[in-house]
Amino acid sequence: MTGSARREAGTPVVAPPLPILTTVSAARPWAGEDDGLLGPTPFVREDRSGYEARGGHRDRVLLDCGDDRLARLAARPGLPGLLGRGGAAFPALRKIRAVADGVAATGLSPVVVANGAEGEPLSVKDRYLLRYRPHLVLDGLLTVAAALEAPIAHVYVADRAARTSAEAALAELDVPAGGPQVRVFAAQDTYVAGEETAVVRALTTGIARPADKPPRPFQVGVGGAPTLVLNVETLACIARAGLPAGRDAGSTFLATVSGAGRPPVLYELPTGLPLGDLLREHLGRVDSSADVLFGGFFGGILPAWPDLELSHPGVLRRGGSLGCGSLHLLAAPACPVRTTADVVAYYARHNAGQCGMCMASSSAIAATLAELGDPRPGVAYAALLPRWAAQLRGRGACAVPDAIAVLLRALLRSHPQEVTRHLASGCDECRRAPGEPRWGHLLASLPSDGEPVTADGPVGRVPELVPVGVEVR
Amino acid sequence: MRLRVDPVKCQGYAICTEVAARHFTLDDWGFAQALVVDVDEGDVPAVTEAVRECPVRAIRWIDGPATGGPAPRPAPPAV
Ligand code: SF4
Ligand code: SF4
Repeated sequence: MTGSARREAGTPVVAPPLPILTTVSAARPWAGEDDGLLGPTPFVREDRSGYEARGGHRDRVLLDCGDDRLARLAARPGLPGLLGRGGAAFPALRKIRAVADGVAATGLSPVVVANGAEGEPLSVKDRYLLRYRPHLVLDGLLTVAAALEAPIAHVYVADRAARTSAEAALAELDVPAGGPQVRVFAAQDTYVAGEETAVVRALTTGIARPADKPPRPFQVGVGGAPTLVLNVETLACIARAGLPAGRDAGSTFLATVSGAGRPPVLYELPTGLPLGDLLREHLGRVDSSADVLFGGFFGGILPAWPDLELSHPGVLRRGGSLGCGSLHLLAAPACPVRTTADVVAYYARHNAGQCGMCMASSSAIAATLAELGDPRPGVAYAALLPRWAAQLRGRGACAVPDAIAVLLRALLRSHPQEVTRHLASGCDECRRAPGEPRWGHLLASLPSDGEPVTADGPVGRVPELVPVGVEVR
Repeated sequence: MRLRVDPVKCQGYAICTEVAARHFTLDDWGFAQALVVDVDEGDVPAVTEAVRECPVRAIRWIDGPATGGPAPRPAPPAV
C-alpha cells in the first residue's frame, strides 16, 4: 500500500511484505574540523540562512563572471582528485570537462542533474544529504551549472522526504534571474532509477530504466543534450570545497555502516581510513574474523582486514568495490555464501527487467547459490561460479551484471575454503535461509519525517521504505 | 572498430554466432557475447554480416574510446 501511493502513474506495483527495518539513528563526523558533509548538527535540517552563515552560496558567483569558469572550478581544493560518489568512482572533473567538450562539439546547451535516487538498500547518505543539507547539494549543483553555463538543472530524487526538502530549499533560495532553471524531478523508487542512463531516460521520457552505452549522458543526454549527472554527495563535496572553512573536496566520505547486530550509523570518514580504526569505533574492538559487504549490494564481500584502506583504490586493490561507500558488517559466524545468495536473490527480483541476459543470469545464479546449503550431486559448481563471473562482466545495460560478477569473484577469491566446505558438506545457515525476501535483513533506512521508525514499528506508516518493497516491473 | 551487443535488444537468436563464430559466442543462458571487442580490418566483412543479419539489430559498431573523453557524436547506431 505504501508503494502505490508514491509511485508515478502507470506501472503496476506489487509490494511484498517489508522486512525488519533497521534505522540509522546516529551520525558521526570522524574528523570534525569543518562542518563537513554531515553538517554542524546532524539530523537537523540546515536552511538557507544557516548555510549562508557558513559562507555558502557565495563562491559560485565568481564562476558566473569569470572567463575560464572551468579552470576556476578546478582550482577548488581537491577537485581534480575527486571521485564520483554514486558508486562508479569516475573522476568528477573529467566528467564535467567531458560535458564541456560535448557542448563545444555539438553547440547544444548542457543539462546538469543532481542525482539523489539512492537505490542501494544499505545506504542512506544521499537521502540524508537531501533531507538535512539540501543547500550544500544545491550550491554544488548551481556551481557546476554556472561552470558549464547550463540553462537547466534538475534535482532528481526518489523519496518523498528528499523531494519535500529539495523543493523547500529551492523556494528559500529563489535562484536569481539569469541563473539556471532548477526543477525537482520525482523518479520511480527502484534499484536502477539512479543509474546515469536511467536518470537521463526518466528526465526525457519518464521511464527510469537504463539504456545501453554508448552513448553516455555526457555525449547524448536529456533531450539529446550533453548532460552532467553527478551524485548528490559529489556535488556536496564540490560545494564544500568552495566554503571559506571548506576542506579538500575528497577528504572525507559518507559511509552508512550497518550489520553485526548494531544499529546502523552514518559516519563521515576520512578517505583512506584503515578499516580496523572504523571497527574499533563502531564495535569497540577489531574483529578480523568478520566480513564486510561493501558498496551497498555492489562491492562484494571481503574479510574485515584491519589494514584495508577505505578508499576506492584501496578496496579495489583487495578485490572489491567501495561503491556508494556503505559497509555492512557480517560478524562471524555469518556465512558469506548465504549473504552472497541473499544479494543475488535481490538482484534477480529487482533488476530492471529489460535485458534478457540479466534476467536469465540473475535468476539462475540466485537459484544456484541458494542450493549450496544442500548442493545437488553432479553439478560442477566449482567450475560454474568463476565461469559465470567471467561471462557477466560489462554485459548489461547497467552495472547489475557486473555487481553479480564482483560478488562471485570476491566470494571465490576471499572465501575459497567456505565455498569448498559448502560443496563438500553443505551448510546449515544456507539451508535455513528464509524464502523471499531473503535479503530482508540487508536494509538500512532513515527515520521517516517526524515519525521515528523502530525495528518493530508499523510498517504501513513508513513511506520512505518503499525501495526494497517495490517490484520494479 | 569496436563491437557491442546491446543486452536490451539481444533475444538470443544465435544468428551472429553462426555467421561470425570467432567473434560471438552464447553465454550459459543463450545470449550473445562479443568475444572480440576490437575487430581486425580483415574480419570486418564477417562481422558486418552478423550486424546485418541479427533480427533485432542488437549488434553495433562503436567508434571512439569506451570511456574518458567524449567520442565524436555517435553516428546514428550503425544498424
Ligand atoms: S542489466 Fe539488468 S538491471 Fe541493468 S538494465 Fe539490464 S535488465 Fe536492467
Ligand atoms: S543474432 Fe542478435 S539477437 Fe541473436 S544472439 Fe546474436 S545479437 Fe543476440
